[in-house]
Order: sequence, then C-alpha cells, then structure tokens
Amino acid sequence: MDFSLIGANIAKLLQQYWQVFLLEGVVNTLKLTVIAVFFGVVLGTFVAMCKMCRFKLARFFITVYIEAIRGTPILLQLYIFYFVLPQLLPVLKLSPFMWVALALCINSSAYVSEIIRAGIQAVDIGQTEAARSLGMSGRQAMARIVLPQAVRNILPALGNEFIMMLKETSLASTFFLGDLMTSYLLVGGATYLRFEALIIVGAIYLLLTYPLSRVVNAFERKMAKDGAD
Amino acid sequence: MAQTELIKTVDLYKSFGRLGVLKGVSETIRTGEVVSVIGPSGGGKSTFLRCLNLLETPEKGQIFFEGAEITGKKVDIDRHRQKMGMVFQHFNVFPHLSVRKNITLAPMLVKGASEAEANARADELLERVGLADKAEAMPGKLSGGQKQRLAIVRALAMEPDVMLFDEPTSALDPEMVGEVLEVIKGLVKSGMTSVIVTHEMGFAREVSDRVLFMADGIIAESGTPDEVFNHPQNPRLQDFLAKVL
Amino acid sequence: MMKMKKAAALALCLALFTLLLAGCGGAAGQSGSQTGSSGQPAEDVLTVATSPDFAPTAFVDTSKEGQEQYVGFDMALARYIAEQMGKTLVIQPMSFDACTTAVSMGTVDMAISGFAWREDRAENFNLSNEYSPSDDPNLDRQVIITLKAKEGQFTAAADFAGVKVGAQTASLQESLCREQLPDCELTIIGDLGTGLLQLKNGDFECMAVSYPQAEVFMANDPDIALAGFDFAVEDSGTVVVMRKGADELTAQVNEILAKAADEGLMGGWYAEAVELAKSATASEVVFDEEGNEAG
Repeated sequence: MDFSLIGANIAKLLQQYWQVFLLEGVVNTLKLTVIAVFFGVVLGTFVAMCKMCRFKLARFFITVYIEAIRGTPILLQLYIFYFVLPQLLPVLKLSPFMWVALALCINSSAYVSEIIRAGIQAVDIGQTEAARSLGMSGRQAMARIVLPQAVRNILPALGNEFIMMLKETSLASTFFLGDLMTSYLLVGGATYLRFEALIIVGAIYLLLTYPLSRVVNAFERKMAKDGAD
Repeated sequence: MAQTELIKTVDLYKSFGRLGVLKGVSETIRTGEVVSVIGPSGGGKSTFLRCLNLLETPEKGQIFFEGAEITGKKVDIDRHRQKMGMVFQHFNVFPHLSVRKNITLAPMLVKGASEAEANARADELLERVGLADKAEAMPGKLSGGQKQRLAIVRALAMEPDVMLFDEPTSALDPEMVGEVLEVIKGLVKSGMTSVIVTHEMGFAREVSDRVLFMADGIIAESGTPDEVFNHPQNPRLQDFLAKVL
Repeated sequence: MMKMKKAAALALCLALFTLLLAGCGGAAGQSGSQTGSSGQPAEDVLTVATSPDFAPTAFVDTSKEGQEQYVGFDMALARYIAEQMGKTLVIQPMSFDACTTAVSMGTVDMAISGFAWREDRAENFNLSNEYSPSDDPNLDRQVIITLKAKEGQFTAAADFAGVKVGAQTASLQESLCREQLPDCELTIIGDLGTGLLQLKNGDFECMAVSYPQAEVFMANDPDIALAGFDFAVEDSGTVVVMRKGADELTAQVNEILAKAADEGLMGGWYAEAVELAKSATASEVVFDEEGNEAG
C-alpha cells in the first residue's frame, strides 16, 4: 500500500477531528475506566470479604460469581448487560452508557476481588497469629496488621487492573459509547482513512498506558524495597 | 511460691488430616512454674503449645485457664489471650510498624492504654532487652536476635500471666541464640510462668522447674530436669537424649 | 451493631454508585446515544439500531451532537419513517452484528443499517420490501474492486481462479462470491474499512463491494479501481430488519417506503449523504477550511 500519504493524512485527521479523539475519546475512555475500577474496588472488596468469610453458602455463590465473570468474554458480558438486563429489570432506567459502565464495574469487581484476596493471603499467617496472640480480635488483626501489609501487594496489582481496564473499555465501542475506539470507528467510518485513524488511536492508548505502567512499576519497586524484611 | 493451677489441659486430641498430632494430652501448668517441652520433631510439642492459647483448636478435650474453661462455645478467647504472651519461632514482628509501635499497638488497641502509658512501658521494656536505641527503627533493620527480643517485649507489654515460647531460638543464627536465651532467662528468674518448647537441652536443664518429653502425640515422660536428663525411664527418651546430647 | 454499620456502608456505596453513573451517563450522552433507556422502547418513540461506521449509508457527522450526528442515506430514511409514524426517532448506535441482536431482543423496534435481503435473515426476522436510493442502475451493482495497477484485469468468473477475494462477513457480497466465484480464494473481512487496508496491503487482490461503496472508495483513494467484473444480481436493494412476527409494523414500514419512493425522496437523500461523506473525508479537506468543516 501507499505509505507516502499517511503522515499527511494523520495530520489532517488530527487537525479536523482532534476534539473527537481527545475531548470525547480520551475523556470517555478515562471516565469509563475510573468508574469501572473505582466501583470495581468497592464491590471487589465486598466480594473478597464474602469469598473469605466462614459461611459456606456465601462462599459458594461468590465463587460462582467470580468464575462466571472471569470465565466468559467481557464482550459477552456487555451484550448481556446491554440487551438482556434492561428487559429483566425494566424498572432500572439506565442509559446504555450506564449499562456498559455497570458491566465493566461488575467485571472489574471479580478481578479486583481476586487481587485483594491474593494480596491478603500473601501476608504471612504468622502475622495474624501474632496479632491474635496479643488479644486482638480477628477484625482488629485484619485492620491493623494484615490489611496494611496486604496493600503493598494490592496497590501495584490494582494499577495493572486500571491499565487493563483502560484497554478493555474499547469494547464500549460496540455500542458507540464515545470511547477512543468509538472515535476510530466514527472518524474511520466517515473518512475511510481507517489506518490513519487506527494509528492515532493506538498512539493515544500508548500515551495513556505507558506512563501509567511506569508509575506502577516504580511503585512496585518502592513497595518491594520498603517491605524487605 | 503460689502453686495454683494456671493452665490445665484434659485429654487433648488434635489431628491434621489423618495425621494424629495430639493423642490425649493432660497436663497442668502451675503459677510461677517454668516448664520446658522437649522431644523429636513431629512429636506434638508446638501443637500442644499452640493449643494452650487456641491458635490451634483441639478436636477433643478441655483447656482451663485461670480456672475457666476456654474450650467452651461462648468463650471470649481474645480476653484470655491478653493474659498469655506468645513468642514464635519466626518472630512474626509487624514489619509495617516501628519497633515502638510493635510494642504499643496491642496495649492501646486491646487494653485501652493511653499512648503515654504505652510508650513509657515500651521504653522500659526496650531498655531491659537492650533495644532502647532502636525504638524508632523499622523491624526490617533489626537482626534476627533483635527481632526476637522485640517479639518477647511485645508480648510482655500486655503484662501476661504466662509466656508461651515456641522454639524461640530455632530460626536464629547461632551467634544470636545466646542473647535471646539471656532475655528469657532473666524473665523466668523474675518469676514469670513460662512454657518453653525448645531444642536447647542445656538451656532447658538450666532454667526449668519441670521438663516434659513429648513423642507421638503424648507426654511420654515428665519430671525435674535432673530426673529427665540424668535418669530417663522411657526408652524413647533415652534414645532421644542419646541423639541430641 | 457491626452488621448495621456494614449494611449502611454498603447502601451508601450503592447509592453513590448510581449517582455517579447517572452523572456520568448524562454527561457522556452526547457521544453515545441519548436514549433514556436501552430497555423496551416506549410508545411514542421509534428506536432504530444502526452501525454508523460506513459512509454514505450511515455514519457520524462529528461536528454535530446527540441524535443529529447520525447521518447518511439510511438515517434520512429512518427520520422519514419516524416522522410518518408520528414518533420521535431515537437512533441506537451499535456494531453491525449487535444490530440484529438488538432487534431480536426487542431492545429496538428495527434495524436500518444497509441490510441486504438474505434468506437466513428472512427466516429469522421480518424484512421490509427492498429499497434503494434511486432508479440509477449503478446503485444495484455489486462489483469487484482491486488496485489501480490491475484495473480491468478480472472480467470473467474464470479470471478469479485461485485469486484471493475479500468480502465482508455475513454480507451479500460474501454469498455472491461463494455462488458466482466458486474458484476464488475467499477471505472474510470484518469491516469494509479494514478490508480496504488489507486490499492495499496485498492481503488479497480483490474485494467484493457494492457499487456505491466502490464509488466512495475510488473517490477517496486513487489507488482503487474497478476490477471489471459485475456480479449477476437481481435486485440488491436493502431492507429494514424487524422482529419476527411484527407484521403490523412491517406493513406500516412498507407503506412508508412505497410513499417515499413515490415522492422520489430517496435519490435526494442519497445525493445529500454522498456529499456529506465527501466533506467528512479529511483527504479532501484543505487545512484552511478546517474551521468551516468543524462548524
């Protein structure tokens, strides 16, 4: 193919459509990601607690929940949330954006709950035993001894989850929800300069994820250094 | 010396999977007593010790602490544990807290001590074990011996009625064993009731009022250090001593 | 006590969650669809699924916002249908595959997105009568495009023996290739824009498209040319896809289609859509005109 025009075409696309890529694409992608990860963490903490609680039935349902979400493609989940749930729950008057955001939150919660659980379980059991032997309750031991140490394991993994989710929000473009990938579809679809639009969108994704992953890496190293015993 | 019963176990059974670890252990620890528990690995020493403050739950049998049964259903075990200090083989100091916070956290959190009270007590204890200059350090900067001394005073800060030592020197480099044993020695001399699971035979002989020999999930022999080390009756004990001494 | 605290915290989180979603949903509506809900369509609203990613049939004019931004021939038709039915039109944009799912799930009333009549489609959905932009015979043509260097080199079915030909998945062109070019090496592509890239990349030599599509490609890209082969087609208009059994609606849509054809509206819509598509194409935009374009 002819590559000579690509540079000029990209410049033209940026000139004409920069607000579609940046103001809509980037903003909506970040919005979806922040919503998904924030509520993924809130919900995921709750899910992780249930997964580690002593009630067998609760543990069973939570395991099913986690496995079902982690074992099915996120696109399939978006379809379910977009097409099926609005029919099952007609009282919930949510916009398509909200349904998709909800699906991403639920998806994120399953992954985050496993991150939290793994982070907590990676803390030496001896720490809990020492705390309990001093007369602390299980709750106190968890809050004052285990969780502060688990955070070291959890935070970097959450950073990675954020990066993963930032990329997965591209699936929202299935329903043209204005994320970066939607920008590609819209601009590419209107202009037929799909390759150029792809390059632009790809570069923006990289510009978003690369600094983030550097931050996560630096944080990981700092945590490892501080935690060295 | 008061000789009231402090801890009493009646016919304790505990197994991990199909492996029976305790097979009917009945023993009484009296106030002021220093009891060492020796025996081969896998004989149930540590499990027995960990049952005393219910870090392990026995499947059968009863445990009484200060006259109250703690194996019952509606027991507030946290309250009893405050009175039983425990020192672990792997120290289990809290790496995210400073040396001082390691000591003051439980008294403040569990007993409601004021920060000033807890700090004063911590300084006094750190002084006693030669760690006064490390009060603000993080545990990661301490040597193994220093960590174990910290773990001991952390337990002492709760002002327990009994100290449980679970192989306190087994994870230490040889040159650090002495400093930890010195601290324990000083403690038992001050009259602290202690149960010490240990492989240090010389130490057990020196500090103990009584020595228990555990093998195959039972207390196979018990007596004064002189009886156990110089006149062993049980052939397993004889065999064991022949190997370790 | 603890339990109550926990329950309260959870309730608070859920409340916050809904609030935040509502806030963001509202703000983001400009780029997505502005429907109140993706649930069952309301009485006075006509919801139409479309995949607005190919000009000139259905695409987005990014200088506009909300429902206004969906433009193209099919969108003009959708507006006309809604107007004739006395309903408010709500376009729900989604990928081509999702459009039919939306119809069968009842999420939307109909899908208008350049759907060709196909037998399996007719079995699973109610399809309207076929419509096409005008009487221009070119509009019904199904052709093969190739790179300029090979223009006119493929004129008979036999010329395609062993030649790689790209066609969009589940499209009319795909079935045409299977029927009429049995000796070609059929390569399935996801969307036409990507297909065009693949063609230029040499992944395949030829690509089967509708003639209007080929026209847009050729207008925007001097490398693209007609291969010289026309598929034999009877009537290649497109259809409105509705839920199986929605006979009343189908009859109503057919009536409206007939009316639009009688009034000669479709040609105008089409011309307008092509003009819009051309102006949207950045390669034709001169830098200085950027301000005007964005306006």
